Amino acid sequence: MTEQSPQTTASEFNQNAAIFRLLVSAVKDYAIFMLDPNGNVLTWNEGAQRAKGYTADEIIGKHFSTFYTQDAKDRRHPQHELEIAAKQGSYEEEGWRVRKDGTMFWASVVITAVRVEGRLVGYAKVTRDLTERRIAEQQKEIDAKILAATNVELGQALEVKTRFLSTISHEVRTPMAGIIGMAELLSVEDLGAENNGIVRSIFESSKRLLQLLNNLLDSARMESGTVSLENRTFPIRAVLGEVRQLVSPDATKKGLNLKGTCDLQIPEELCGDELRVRQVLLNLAFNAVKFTQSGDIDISCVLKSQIDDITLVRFTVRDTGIGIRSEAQAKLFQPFVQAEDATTRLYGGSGLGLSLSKQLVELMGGTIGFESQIDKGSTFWFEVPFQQGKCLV
Amino acid sequence: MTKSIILIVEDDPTLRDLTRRQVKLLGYESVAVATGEEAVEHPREEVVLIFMDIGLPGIDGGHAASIIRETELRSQSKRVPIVALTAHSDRQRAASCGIDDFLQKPALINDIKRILDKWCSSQGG
Repeated sequence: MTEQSPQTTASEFNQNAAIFRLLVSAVKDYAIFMLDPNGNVLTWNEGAQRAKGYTADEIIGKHFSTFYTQDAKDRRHPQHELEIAAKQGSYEEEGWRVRKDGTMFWASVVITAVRVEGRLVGYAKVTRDLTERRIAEQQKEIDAKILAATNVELGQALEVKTRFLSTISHEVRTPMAGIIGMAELLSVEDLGAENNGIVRSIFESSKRLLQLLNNLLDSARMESGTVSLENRTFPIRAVLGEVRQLVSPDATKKGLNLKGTCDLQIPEELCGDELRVRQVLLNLAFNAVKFTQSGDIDISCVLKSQIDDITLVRFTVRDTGIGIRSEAQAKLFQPFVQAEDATTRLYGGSGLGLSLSKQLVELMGGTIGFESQIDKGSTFWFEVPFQQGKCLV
Repeated sequence: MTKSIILIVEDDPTLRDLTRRQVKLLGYESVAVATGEEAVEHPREEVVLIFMDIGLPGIDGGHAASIIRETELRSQSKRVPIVALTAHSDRQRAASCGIDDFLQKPALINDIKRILDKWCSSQGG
């Protein structure tokens, strides 16, 4: 190792310092400057001018507390920073600082005490403008708070709506049950042709009102997401039989023939929501009866596929009724839509049945559709996947 | 020969009357009570089926059904089919109370008939 003369060291030091100063002065994204031991500005760089707005001439010799808010100055915060840096070697913080034009910026600050042979000669200060990041963070915090509050409000509104629906459903059902039940009892009595006709009208009207109410409540529940499925073991053939039995009085009155088969390959018991399957089947079956003047209604089911323990069943309701014009077919599953406006006047109904059926089938993970020919009839079908055999609890 | 009686538990007087008339039309005798407490106390020797409303003042239909199931177990007596006849639609809870079947209001003659055929066809009138 060669011994170096003190002169060479000093010259090298000066040369290095010059290069270093050049580098620092050109840095644009960081304010890098020196303070004397009292906190007065000694040097200034491009980054400092950009961040704080002062030129070197304007700021050199001034105390660095110029960059602080009045409040921070009142708290002697700048002095504290220097004291901590002197004591611990350095001090770091993030906080608001003031530009020359009075605007504020969010600064990330590092102050390092500079010592030569143990003696404090000043401080190196590196400041970075992080205003954009800070504003983005604050916006995120505000957004999160607003979102949380909105969610709470939405949850409450939904809860009120659900409670309202369930109360109304219950309260309306009791008097409806009285009207419908009593009207039916009267309708089987012999009251004379005219009076029997009146009673029958009361009975039919109240049944229609109830069906409308049921569909409305279900649609609203569907919208609020409060319809849940109940998985229970159920006998699929019995459900088909019940549906035929339920539409049979109306069908018999119109002289329609009710028939149907259930694919022998379909297991006796399936696991799914019996009530919802029956509801959709009934909707389709009542529609079929309503729109058919003569011929027959076929309510059947076939095995579509069986993969592992999932049985896909296709239910069909075929009629020999008026059919649906192809122009009207596209909007058939939309709520409050019937094939023709005139249909409503002629056949009644809210047009909610099919849209609700579609929603229910889709909730069960299935699909629904139809084929129809004008004056020949329509076949409505839906496919639902069931777990084969008893439900696993 | 023992009589076959349907026990009807219903707090609404109109619906109580209605169900009694529907059951009568189908050839069954009936007794009607208005509360769960009365239902639990009512002798069940001749009762072949209970139509149980769920929303009742005092103990509700589900609770009454559980008590009936407990006393049947204790006294080793026959298990009477209990069918919920209700405006509520909570089948799962009904099933957990020992209720065997579920009929939603309004129930028409055919609905009642289907239930009676299913649960007491042999005893029916």
